[in-house]
Amino acid sequence: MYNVLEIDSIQKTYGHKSVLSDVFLQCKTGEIIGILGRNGSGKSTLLQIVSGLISADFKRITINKIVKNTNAKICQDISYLSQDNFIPNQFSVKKVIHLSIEKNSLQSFLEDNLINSIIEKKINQLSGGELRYLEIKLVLENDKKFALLDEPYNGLSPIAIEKINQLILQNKIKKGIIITDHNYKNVIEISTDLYLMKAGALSKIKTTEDLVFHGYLNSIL
Amino acid sequence: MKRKLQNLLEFYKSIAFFNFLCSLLIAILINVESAFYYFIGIGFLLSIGIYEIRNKKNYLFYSNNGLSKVNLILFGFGFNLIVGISFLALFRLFENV
Repeated sequence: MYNVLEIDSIQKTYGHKSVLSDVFLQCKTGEIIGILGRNGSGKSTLLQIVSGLISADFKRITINKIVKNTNAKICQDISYLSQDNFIPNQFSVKKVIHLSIEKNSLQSFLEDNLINSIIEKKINQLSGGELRYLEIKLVLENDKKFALLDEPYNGLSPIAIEKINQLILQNKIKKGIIITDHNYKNVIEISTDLYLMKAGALSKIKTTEDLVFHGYLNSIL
Repeated sequence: MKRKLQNLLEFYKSIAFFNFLCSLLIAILINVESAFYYFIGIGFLLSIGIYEIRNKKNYLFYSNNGLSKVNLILFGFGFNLIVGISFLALFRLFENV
């Protein structure tokens, strides 16, 4: 099914400092929206607001033109990969998968060497890379319409990053994905549309020269 | 639906242990009725408070499975009430035998 997520008029201030000012973003099934930006530019804040984790001074989130104004409604359609690990430590990998993945998707979820190698382990026995991979796979392969990925490449080896990119590209067929990371080369590589967050506002990036123009990069890659 | 219920029960299990332990202690030291009121009231709130401090980031796990924090707490309260009443009813039954 084809779905459209519209994030409109997002405003957020901390004290007197405006973190996000009138942000508009649209994401459709099949799209990977990449958001780049320096530290503290508001990328993570935007994703946390959209996922309902933090409140905004003003926000309007719609999916297929239906307003999603409560966390209970948002979490039916949007999943979020935070920078911090979010799976309860005391659970086993097997239990986590059964709690998160629909029965009809289980078989394809388990057709993965890395997942099979950790399935009998507890979450607190996993390495940082294994846990991150599991979290990303859960967020991408659950039944939600949209996935928000906040720094998915953080702390991962190049091979793991390659696997993550494959996962993202495989899953864009069935969902819309918004990704933000400081690993800009990978974000640029997999994104279908690219934006730069600067001073709480989003600018559409058409070419890599735009990133230099906006001061995100010193020179072209 | 079944998967959501399993998630709700897992959340309840993770908050209930401390509440059960304290209620058992109150039942032994004071009486069963006090333990019941503690279990469904302060004990439940305390368990949520402890979860909030120690496992706050785990709410996202349930949110990604379609359950908001409000869903979890409301279910937890309702289920806790049923468990508390069931225990009290069982105790009364054995008391009268």
